Amino acid sequence: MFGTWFYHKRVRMAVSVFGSLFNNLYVLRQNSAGETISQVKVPLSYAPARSFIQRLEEMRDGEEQERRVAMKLPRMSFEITSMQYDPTRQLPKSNNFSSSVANDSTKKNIFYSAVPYDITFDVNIYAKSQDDALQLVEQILPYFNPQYTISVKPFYEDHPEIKEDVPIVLQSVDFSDDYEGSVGDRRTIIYTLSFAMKISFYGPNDTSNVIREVNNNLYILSGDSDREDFQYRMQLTPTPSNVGLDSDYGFNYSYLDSAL
Amino acid sequence: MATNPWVSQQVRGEQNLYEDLVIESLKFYGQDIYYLPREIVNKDKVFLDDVPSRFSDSYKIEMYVENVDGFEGEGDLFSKFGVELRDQATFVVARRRWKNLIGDKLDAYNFRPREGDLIYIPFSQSIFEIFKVETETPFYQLNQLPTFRLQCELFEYNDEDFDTDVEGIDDVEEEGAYQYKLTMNTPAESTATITGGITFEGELNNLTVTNPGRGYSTAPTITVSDNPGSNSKFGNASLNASRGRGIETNYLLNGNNGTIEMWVNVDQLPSSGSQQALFLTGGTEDDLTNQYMWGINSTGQLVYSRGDNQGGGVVSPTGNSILFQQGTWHHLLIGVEGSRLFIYFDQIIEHDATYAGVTFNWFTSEGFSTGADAARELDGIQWDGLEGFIDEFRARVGSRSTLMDNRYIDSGVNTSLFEQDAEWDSDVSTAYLNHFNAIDADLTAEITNGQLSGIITNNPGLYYDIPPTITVTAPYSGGTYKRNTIVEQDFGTYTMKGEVAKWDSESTTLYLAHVGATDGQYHTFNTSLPVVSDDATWAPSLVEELEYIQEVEDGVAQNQYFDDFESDFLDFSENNPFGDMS
Repeated sequence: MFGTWFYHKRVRMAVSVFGSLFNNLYVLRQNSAGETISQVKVPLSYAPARSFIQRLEEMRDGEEQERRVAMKLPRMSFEITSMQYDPTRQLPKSNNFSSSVANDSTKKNIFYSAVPYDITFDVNIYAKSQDDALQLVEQILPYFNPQYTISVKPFYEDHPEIKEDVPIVLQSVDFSDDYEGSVGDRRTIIYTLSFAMKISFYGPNDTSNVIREVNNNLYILSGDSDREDFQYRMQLTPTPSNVGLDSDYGFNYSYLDSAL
Repeated sequence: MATNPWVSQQVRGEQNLYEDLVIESLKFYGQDIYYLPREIVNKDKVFLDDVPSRFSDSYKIEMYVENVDGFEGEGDLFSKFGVELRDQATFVVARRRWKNLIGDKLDAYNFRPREGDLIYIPFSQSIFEIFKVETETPFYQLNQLPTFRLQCELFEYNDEDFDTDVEGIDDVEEEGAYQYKLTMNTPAESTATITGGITFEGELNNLTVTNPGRGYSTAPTITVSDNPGSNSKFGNASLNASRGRGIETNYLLNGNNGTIEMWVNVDQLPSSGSQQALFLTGGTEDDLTNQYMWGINSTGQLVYSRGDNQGGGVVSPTGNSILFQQGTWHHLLIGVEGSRLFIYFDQIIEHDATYAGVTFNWFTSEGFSTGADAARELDGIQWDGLEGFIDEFRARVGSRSTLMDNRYIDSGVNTSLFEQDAEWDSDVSTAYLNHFNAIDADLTAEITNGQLSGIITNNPGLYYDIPPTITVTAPYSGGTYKRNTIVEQDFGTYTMKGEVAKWDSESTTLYLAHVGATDGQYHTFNTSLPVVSDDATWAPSLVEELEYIQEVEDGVAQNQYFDDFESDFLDFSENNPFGDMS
């Protein structure tokens, strides 16, 4: 029924955009003199992955290194946990906006109203110590009150001029610290921050002609009768004639077929 | 009922035998294992933790690995943070052996192995962390406890510092520690370069730092190429006519009155019967009547002869009143006013006479020759080139009263040639010759943040013919960074430090782990200051931080991808504080 193939990669882009928010966080460790003795940029990855891909990546250092340690910490990962329709942001379905078509000033692209969705992301912070984890948490929380808005280019490849504000709302902060239990058990400290990213899904965009000529036939009522007497036709065209959709231009007025 | 007093299990000899047998069996069936005691660097008194632990010692000891069919534990877990290895192992070590070999060398808590210490297994090249130490297993056999049983789990690496000098152990830093990669400049690339021009007077100007260099810990030395004028001998060397130092040319000098002046320093007086030329009037030989050759004879007397020999051979008008001494600068001024000839020697007038019937018509368009250029046979008399120096040769037209006015005579003789002012007179009636004693320029460098930031012109020099070559000493670069040593980059208010994880001498690339600044804040290295260790000093031309290394060393991390992605899909006209773009 729908039939028209299109793929704007909105979720894929949302994942990358979300990842770019947290790809530059550091953990610093000080010695007793207050000097930094280690500063670590925290590795970040999208959690759901093919297991063999990860195993292959970890084999790249060779056989000897593969099983030397259990894991390198701290680390961060994130994943999509849900997608929900957001009716509060829905615009009238007939709304649209247009954009120019490259190398063709007679055409324009039409984008119809998008469908708003909230994508929920969980960011997980895995650290070996509370202080490491808290450094990361504290580098994130102040920016969300509770939302932080970024501008993205939803149609980067074809229409980079189109920008869209995307609010990201911090919804909750949870953590687990399983320090209790047998002495022989491993302790894990994991903070989980839940965010909602408000994005929009666009359908296939359409192409239509740009109106480049307007003709108005002007009449005048004849006396007190109902008869309309044709006076002239006014033709409106842009100048210069080859302007595009986003150009600055003026108009030419021509009066044609005058009956006077 | 109490135990049977006749059967005691606490016989020392049997206990020792039992323990010896245990140790012996561990040596038979055990493995060589490294024990790494943890050093607490900075105890967190709030969360009771020690984040940046250090492991700088390793003790090789035999341990029995209880696991027969492989490591225990949950194995390889695929978690939201990637693949996590949950291998567990249990090791048995003899109590006495551990105490003697390890415990006695530890400062505190040395009566048993400690939780948190590490075990390195060479055969699997794995590092385990001791989670639990069982001290009572087996339980009081013969009333004693001969072994420790260590329950371990594969170590989670958290940028801990390993400096054990055991390759397999310290490799964990090279593979897992968060690193900076510094690509070092070659010394030639690090060297600052300066270009300069010269004024018409030959002074250095328009100094431009074309490359500020990098890696200077102290201000470099700036050397300006020798000024050729300083070394030229007017008498023996060819003259450089391009800046007026030669005189084999026509000067627009006309008139009957004028002076010829010079400074003379004779290296070697002529041999007996010979004479050396100082200057020749009418240099192009077209006017033999007015062609006078003046010079020095073998005794140092001032002598002359005429081109048409009308003067009667070689004549010394002043005799021994004027004697040039070898190695001494003398000022000589010979003036003419029609038929009158007067000679000053070292400020003192030694000759003032009128020659009836003679008109000294020296100042014509024929010009002058001096020094070696003047040497020739003149009317049958051989005049050799001066073996010495002539400086400030001047031929000037004008009346004696004008020429003698203060300037040359009364102002005193200044034999310190380097202090004399240059003379320049655009008056076409004045022939001039610049100082021949050029002065070398003297420049001093200033540095800021390891780079050349300023040039102090102590002396612009004088009489450079062409812009000299200016060279700056290279910053010291060289040496080999040794693994586990500390390197520093001094920023003044703080110092960046890092531990050498790897040094590639071929590509001059340094990998640093455990990087940090002494002020406790986040900083990074720069590409201008030298990175210094006890063994090496180089200046980085490229500092690559983290993303690149993570891409290589930690294939799971996607930081680099997200970083690249930002610029394409995010609109940074509104700042993103998380991103590194602005």
